[in-house]
This record gives sequence, structure tokens and C-alpha cells, in this order.
Amino acid sequence: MTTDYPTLHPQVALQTIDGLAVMVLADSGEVLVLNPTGTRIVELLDGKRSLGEVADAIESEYAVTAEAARRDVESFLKTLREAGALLT
Amino acid sequence: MSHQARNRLQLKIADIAVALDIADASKRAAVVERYREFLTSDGEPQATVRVEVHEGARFVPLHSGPWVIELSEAHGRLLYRSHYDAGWIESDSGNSFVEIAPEVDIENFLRVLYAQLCLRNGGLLLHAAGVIHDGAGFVFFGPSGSGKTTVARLSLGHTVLSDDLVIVRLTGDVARVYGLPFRGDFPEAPRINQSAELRGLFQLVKAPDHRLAAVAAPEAFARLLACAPFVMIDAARARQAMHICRQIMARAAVRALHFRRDPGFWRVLGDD
Repeated sequence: MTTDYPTLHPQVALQTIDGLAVMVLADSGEVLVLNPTGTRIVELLDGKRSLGEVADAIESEYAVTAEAARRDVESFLKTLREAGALLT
Repeated sequence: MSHQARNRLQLKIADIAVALDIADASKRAAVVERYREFLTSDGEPQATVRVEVHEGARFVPLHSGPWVIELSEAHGRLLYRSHYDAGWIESDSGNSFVEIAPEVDIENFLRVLYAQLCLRNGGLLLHAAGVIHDGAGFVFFGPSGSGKTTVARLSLGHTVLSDDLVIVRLTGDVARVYGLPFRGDFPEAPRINQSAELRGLFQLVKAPDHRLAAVAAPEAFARLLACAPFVMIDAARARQAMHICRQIMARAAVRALHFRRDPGFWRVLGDD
């Protein structure tokens, strides 16, 4: 279990439209439309939940295995981190 | 007449007036020539721009890539730097200063300034072509190469506002599209100071046939936002742009216009 508490970077602006999050990365001007799982993960990134707790929530809400939830969350956070959308 | 009054020009674009204080006579004459249709003495300016011309002014070094405009926020000012001009815009008031080399004009700075003023006035500067047809405003947007200039050239029977940049502002229950005097790859197009109620926003898609297609709201929102230059500088501005973008979409539909290189796409839009 990691002690990492992932948080969105303050330069990120979000708006949810028809259930999907649209994310603007103000540093680069990039605009992304997240899929439903990505939208839910971003909602869970409140700086109080660890990566493991986010994965636990995805596991229970999407009825996937713990391993698959962990893998998906880690992969998505890696993408966000590389895009500069995460603070930690 | 004071020096300041003699040196002052007032530009009004999308009903947003800006005073330009330009001591350099040749630069002032160039502004009069280029922006004649948008000069006015009406109304109180929302911001004042002091323009100083300096021989040999050089800022961001030239290179072989695209033209660079650097924007950053510091101490309540939006800092602007490009190859031959640099300056700042006060984030609260919009009052500005730009230092410029004689060989370039102030248009790039004005684009950035108006993008900021639009945000404060419930509007967005958009990389888009704008056309008035039967009294209604049509906005065609997309990235470079998507066909904005082509659509403008194929719309010469109508009132072409621009092939490159338009302003869309919220006015009560409607959105309006405004022409502005900035040009892209269609420099011979007249600079038309008109506006119209916005009928629709059309994402351009090159195709073998003309047709309209629905675009899912999140994707439409993202694509439209991506066409709003000079405002994604910080999260506060981005949030304001997102808010305005949603309000615009609540007043005018966004759809994809699949089109080929002939004016027949107007039949599709006319049937709409």
C-alpha cells in the first residue's frame, strides 16, 4: 500500500458535462475529455484518499477485481502525472 | 489639444472599447489604416494601451518554428513576450503597455488583450471563421488546416466576418458573434464591423459530402475550448472560459459540419 495521496495540480480546471469530466491543463492549454472511469477517479482525488483507497472505491463501484482496479488506477494516474495534472 | 489626446485612437471591437496611446506617428497611421472600420469616439474605453515604438526592440529570439507568444501571470499582470514586442496587461483593469519594433504591428498584442477583455465581458475570442447569412451568425471552428479559410472563401456571397478569429459574447438570453479586424490566411477579406445573433457553432470536418452530424456535449465543449486562444494561462482564467463556453453552448448548438470544397454546404446549413 502506497502512502501517496494523489491530488490534482492547482493549474487544472475541471467541468463535468453529461457525466464526463472535461479537464483543462492551464500550463499547456491541453483539453482532455475523460472516460467514465477516469471521471470517477478524478472525483476521488481529494488529497485525502491514498492510491489504494481510490483503487478500492473503483473495485467496489465497477465490480472489477482488486488487481484490475489497482492496475487501472495506477495507469491513469501515471498518464495524469506525465501530463502535469497531478501535484504529487 | 494635449499630446495625449492627439496621440489617442479608440478601437471598439465586439462593443468593447480600448484606447490606444501611440506617440509614434507612423505607427498611429498604420493603426488607422488597418483598423479604420473599428475606430470610434463612442463610449468609455474599458482599458488603455500605451504603445512605444523602439528601433531594434528584440525579445524572444527568432527560430525556425512557429511564431512564439509567451504569456505568464506575475504580480497582477499578464506578461506578454514575442519576437519583436513585449509588454503587460494589468489583470484587473486591462490597462496595458507594449514596446514594439517599428517593423511589426500591434495586432498580436491586441489579440491577447481582447481575449482577456472578452473573458471579463462574458465572451470568448475563438479561432474560428464567422459568417452572417440571412441575418444569423454562423461560427466554423477547428484547428489549423480544418478548413476555416476555405469556408470563408466559399461564403463570399454572404457577409464574411473573419476566416480566423471571431468573438462570441453572451448578451442576455442570446449569444452574438462579432467580426473583428484580425485576419488569418485570407488577408484580402474586408474588415467588417458587424455582429449577428449566433445560430450555431460548427466543427469543421473535411469530407466527400456535405452533412451535419451531432457531437456529444463533452466532446463539443472540449473542442470549442481548445479553440479559445490566450486564456488557458491559469486555472482561474480556464474556469472562466469554461463557464462562458457552457453558457454559449446553452444558447447555440454545436455540431460537426462535414463539407467538401464547394459552397453546397450552405444548403445543408440552410435546411437546418
